[in-house]
Amino acid sequence: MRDGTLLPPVRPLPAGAAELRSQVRGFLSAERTAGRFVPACDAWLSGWDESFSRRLAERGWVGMTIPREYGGHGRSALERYVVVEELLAAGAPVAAHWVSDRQVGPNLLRYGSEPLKRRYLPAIAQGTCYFAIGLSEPDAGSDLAAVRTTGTRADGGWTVSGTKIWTSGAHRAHALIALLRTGPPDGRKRHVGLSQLLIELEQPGVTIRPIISMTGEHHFNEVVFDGVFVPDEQVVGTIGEGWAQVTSELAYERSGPERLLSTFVLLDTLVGELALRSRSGDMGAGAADAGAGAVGRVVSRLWACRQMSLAVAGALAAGEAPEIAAALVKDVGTRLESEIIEVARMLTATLRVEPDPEGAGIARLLAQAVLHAPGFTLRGGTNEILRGIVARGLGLR
Amino acid sequence: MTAADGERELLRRTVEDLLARHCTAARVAAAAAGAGWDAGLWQALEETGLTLAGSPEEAGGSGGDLSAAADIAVAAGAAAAPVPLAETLAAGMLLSRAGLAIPSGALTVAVASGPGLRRVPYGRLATTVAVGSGGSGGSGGSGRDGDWLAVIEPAGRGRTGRVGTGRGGTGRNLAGEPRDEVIFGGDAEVHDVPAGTADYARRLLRLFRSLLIAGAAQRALDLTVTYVQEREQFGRPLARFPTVQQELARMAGEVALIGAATQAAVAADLPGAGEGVSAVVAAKAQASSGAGVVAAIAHQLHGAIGTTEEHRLRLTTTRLWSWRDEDGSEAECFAELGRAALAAATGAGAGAGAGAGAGAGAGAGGLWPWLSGSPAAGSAV
Repeated sequence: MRDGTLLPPVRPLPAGAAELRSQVRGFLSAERTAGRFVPACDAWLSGWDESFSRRLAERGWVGMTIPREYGGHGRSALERYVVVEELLAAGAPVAAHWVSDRQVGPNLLRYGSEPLKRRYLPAIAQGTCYFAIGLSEPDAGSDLAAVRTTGTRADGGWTVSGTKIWTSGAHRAHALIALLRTGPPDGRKRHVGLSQLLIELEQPGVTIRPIISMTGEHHFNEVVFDGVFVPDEQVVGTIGEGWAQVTSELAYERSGPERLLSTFVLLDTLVGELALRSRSGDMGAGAADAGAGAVGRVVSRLWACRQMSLAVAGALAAGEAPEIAAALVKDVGTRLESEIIEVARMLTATLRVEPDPEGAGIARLLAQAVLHAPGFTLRGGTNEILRGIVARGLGLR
Repeated sequence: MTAADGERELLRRTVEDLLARHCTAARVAAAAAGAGWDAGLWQALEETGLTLAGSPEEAGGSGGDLSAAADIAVAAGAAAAPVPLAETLAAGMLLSRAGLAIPSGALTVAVASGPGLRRVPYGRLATTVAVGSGGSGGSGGSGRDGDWLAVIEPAGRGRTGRVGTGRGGTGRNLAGEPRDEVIFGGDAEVHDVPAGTADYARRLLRLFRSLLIAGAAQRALDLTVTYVQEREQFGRPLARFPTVQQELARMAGEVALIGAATQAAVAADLPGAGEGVSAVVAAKAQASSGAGVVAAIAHQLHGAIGTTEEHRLRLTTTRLWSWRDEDGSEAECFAELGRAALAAATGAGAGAGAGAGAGAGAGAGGLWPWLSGSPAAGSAV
């Protein structure tokens, strides 16, 4: 294998990216100054703020890649990348529209029927329509092809029964995009017979039960479908092609800036604090040097991860499917998100700050980061599964 | 694929083929044990003009841009080529930027700090292009205020008394590559060069060392992938064991990170190192810190055979272990980046009007604009 097969080429961002970046920064700065959001770690999971989503959409920064004819803005995937990384780096509350914007919009554009596009895309671009993802099940975690939720053929549609789990935001979302079984597997080929359906969540037969995280927060849910009727119009793509459709989305899901930046606000705040202290002479020269070295370590890695993520984004935009590189971004990036916590802990020890969920500044951010960290390397496919994908790509299995 | 991409691919393949023909394990090992280089390989490279890619033809180079020179350096690193190829490429770019003619033959670059030029790659064999700033340059730079550059031919090529490989003596790195002290007296021909030339040379060296590491890291991965597919234990290839797969994937992650970092540094266009992170420093930090991880996993998966003289892996890993410390170790690069990050944090905090609360509050610091290479809104004024 030659250099270059592992990683797509690093391409420049489109012209106008800097201008767009500065517009987003201006917006975020105004929002922060007005107290409309408090930067937080992992806010793409935990920062559910529908009014923020709407304000963002008013600027044209939700559903950016959706064509104008469907109420979107016809911007490129790389322009969206720029906006999203600005939002994540600022710790902005983007959770409400996150799944709609990242996943469902592109999915519908690629596979959705005309009526489905007309129905959902304009609302997605307005920042008012929120989705949950229905992949995992109690007995189908890493082994996604083991899903047992079934759609049984009914008159004009499908009757759905089964249980989805770890569905972020299902208790507040309007609909869920589910992977379920609509036909039998073909012997050992378990990927056969799976389909994607869009299921409206406010209807009889749908029960949503909260799963409270160890932070005390409620993001996750168990969603039970008991004979829920889903009309044919809500089928995404082709019946039986669900596996191919879902896996084609995964490169987007795995390689985006959210796989590097979940703890960036902590790093940013820490560096700001260290800078102040070393400038005011509050810190000895030795401590300041040690601090700089540790900051440099994570900063250089973050910079490199970002280049990798950008390379994958560029390849995706060019219509390529860099599956291995995407898996590598998530493996390396999510581990870095936790390394940042370790550096922060090491350096804050000298500042006498400990994690405190009720505290302010670094104490609060540390608490958020530490408690959210186990999820970084689990969600979107565990890192062990991803490394298996890489190994397959290298020809080992 | 665009025409430019096709041309780049063609160049890459030409270099790789040529290097593959010459850089057999036996010849690479013989160079290390003997003269310190492979003269036959060097001659073949010179004949193709590959040694001066990236430098304009008017200055005596072969033309092409930085990306062409970078691809050649990556290939040299991958092949463990026992010649000063990356060094000569860097020297050509440095000389042509300074408006000086490029002498023929093998070249190497040394940035003076303190008296003398220490651990100069291939110093005994190549013409040394030495650069320095003001009085920092020891013997050659004494009495000068600005940046200077001296071209010093190796001993035994005439012009005696100007150069020598003497007091500090000759040395080798872990891969057997020559690392020599080069001494030049007061009669050396020293040129005044534009301010920033010494800095440019330092960045150039870091970049080329990173590219060599990128090539070697990729080769270590390739060798390991091949080995675990061939070697059987417990009745099946090592590649079938999940623990082996996990380690290889971790290795691939490091290799990809080094590749992304170095390619981004090339794309960042060296002379224009403007806003934000110094891409070259970040790339060297990544290359140096990843090199050790890559070498360690490669050896662990190769088992005992990989530690022997007869196995080819050591030609690559000894280079990784040497190159990570040369032209700025990760510790040096981390410290440099960290200081720059702290400076950016305070600078933008004040400039963006975030006020004194920038540090104590959350977010909105100067780190992100610096890291993403895009100045903070409103901070430019």
